[in-house]
Amino acid sequence: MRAPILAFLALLTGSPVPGTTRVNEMSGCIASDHPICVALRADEPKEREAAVRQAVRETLLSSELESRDKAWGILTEIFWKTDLYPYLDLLDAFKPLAQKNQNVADLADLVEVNFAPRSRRIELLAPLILSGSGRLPRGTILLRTSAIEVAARQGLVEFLPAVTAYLAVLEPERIRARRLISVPALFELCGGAASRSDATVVALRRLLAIEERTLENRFPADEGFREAVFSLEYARCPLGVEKEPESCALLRQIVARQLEYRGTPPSPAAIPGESTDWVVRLQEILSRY
Amino acid sequence: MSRIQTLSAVFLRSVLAVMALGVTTVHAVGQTAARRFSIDPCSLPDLGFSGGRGWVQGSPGRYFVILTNLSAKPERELSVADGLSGHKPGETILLGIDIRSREGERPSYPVAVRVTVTGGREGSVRPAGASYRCREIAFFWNRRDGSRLEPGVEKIELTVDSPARLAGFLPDETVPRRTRPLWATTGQLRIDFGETDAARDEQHRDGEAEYAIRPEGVLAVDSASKGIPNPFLNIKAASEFFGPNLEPASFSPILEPFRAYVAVRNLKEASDAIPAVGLTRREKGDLLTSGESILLRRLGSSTIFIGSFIVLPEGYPDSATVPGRLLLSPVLSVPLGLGTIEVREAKPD
Repeated sequence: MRAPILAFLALLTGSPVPGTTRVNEMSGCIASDHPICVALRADEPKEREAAVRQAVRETLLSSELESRDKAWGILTEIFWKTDLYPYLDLLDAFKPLAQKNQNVADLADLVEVNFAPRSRRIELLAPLILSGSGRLPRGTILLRTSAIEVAARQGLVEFLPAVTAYLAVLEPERIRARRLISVPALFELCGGAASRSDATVVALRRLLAIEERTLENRFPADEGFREAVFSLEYARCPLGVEKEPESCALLRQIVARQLEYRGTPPSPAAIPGESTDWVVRLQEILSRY
Repeated sequence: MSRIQTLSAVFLRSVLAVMALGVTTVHAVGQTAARRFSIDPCSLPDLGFSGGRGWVQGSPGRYFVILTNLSAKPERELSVADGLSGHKPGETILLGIDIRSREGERPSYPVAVRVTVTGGREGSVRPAGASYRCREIAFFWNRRDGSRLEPGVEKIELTVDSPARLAGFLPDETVPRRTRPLWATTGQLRIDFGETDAARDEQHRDGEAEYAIRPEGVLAVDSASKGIPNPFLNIKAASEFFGPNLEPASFSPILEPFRAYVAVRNLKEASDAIPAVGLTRREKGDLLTSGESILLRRLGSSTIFIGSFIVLPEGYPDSATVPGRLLLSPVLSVPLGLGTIEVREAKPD
């Protein structure tokens, strides 16, 4: 029964090309004119990849210490949300040039486990999730709980039975303490995503497919679901741009549809992020930047 | 270093620190056809223990573990000093785990237990009734269900899987001049337990116990044949001490109770037993144990007499109630037979 479900989820998600993160999706590069950031702003994926490779070579692998340090600073700011997998070879090449406090192995490992092709990410996460032991290829320790969250956030539903078995032996308080309360809902929403970058779009499409009344009931009642939705990796959604990220368009649709369903506008929160109204929270995410 | 680099390094370190807290290493054994994405049951539920080693750290803890061999007939409580014996390699033994206070009460809080098989080759452990085999398991001995505490896993199965090794022969305690084999320790069964706090995902180690596993082999028809170890071969008139596996004794540090042996050659003694007393002294020479009775029994029909006693670290809880015990300083290196332990022939009243 699981195989058809996985096939269906895969069909739903499409297949974005790895390494396609653009600069408007990364906070670390927004106001920077560093060559890497400039290169990341290119529209066309192939052109962007070539430009970023050149920029990384010229800065991170430069013979000048200051240039290398600046490039490293940029990369450590953006690596969490930016797909640096196409440049993994350059990160590895930087290792012999790195200073002691520049932990290249950890950064490269995290880039690989977050942005490698799906099958590779599954291969890397499997020992960590299934046996709770092991390390990433360059020696980085990733806790099982972190590995589970990474898998859920990337929609790697292959791990869902194992994670369900794992959660089944834990008390609800312990699941909360291990910060895994949103994991089932993350699998539900992001399941089958082709990449970490498109998991949010997949999740928002699913959210939009849930009828308004169900959402009104589920958000207040289901803490894990609520936390999963609020913790998705949202792109910047600036108004008035020609081509906004798909996740922004989906989020606007969800909010607009729900407001129409309610008929009355929600009261804005006195303190941003503190509203108990989930629609207000989504509105805040939309207007965050 | 630039400000950006400093901030980035701090951010990366904090991300990695969150990810690197407390890794548990566990291994499943004997699972050759595990499904690709099946979770290793031995690795559940990821319980780490923190806190010092019970009494050594000066906090004896109110509770202690009682391990009962439920496969033995009659069932018998295992002592840490003697460990688990009487089972052949390959046998699976049902063990009951109880945790009680000295007043006999169960803990009033949820308790987590970790059981580890160390040493040996393929020895394994699992919750009773489970189909898998592990070198280490952790489980909830009891769990909170609302305001009540529900029993959790209270029985485990230990599979003894190391080949037996004969340590030597000792006098039989029941029939004079008869000998019995002592099977050597091939591994240990270690139990850690403590209060578990689900909301904080923490386990505090309240106590631990380590039991020697002594698989029992089959004796050759001719016990006097070559290859049978005889550690007492060169015993002289002065007493000599031997460790739990009849090895020449030198123990350091002493953290758990264990059984040790003393042997002496007596050419004149006509009876089969010599009453003796054991004394121990602290490093500075003051008496720690005075006059503990030890009966030296004749080994077969030889002129060698052997007695046994339990060595306990000073300060060990309930040490006064352990018969035949000799106390020793727990953390210092204590070479036996250098005046720290003495066994003297008891003078008749």
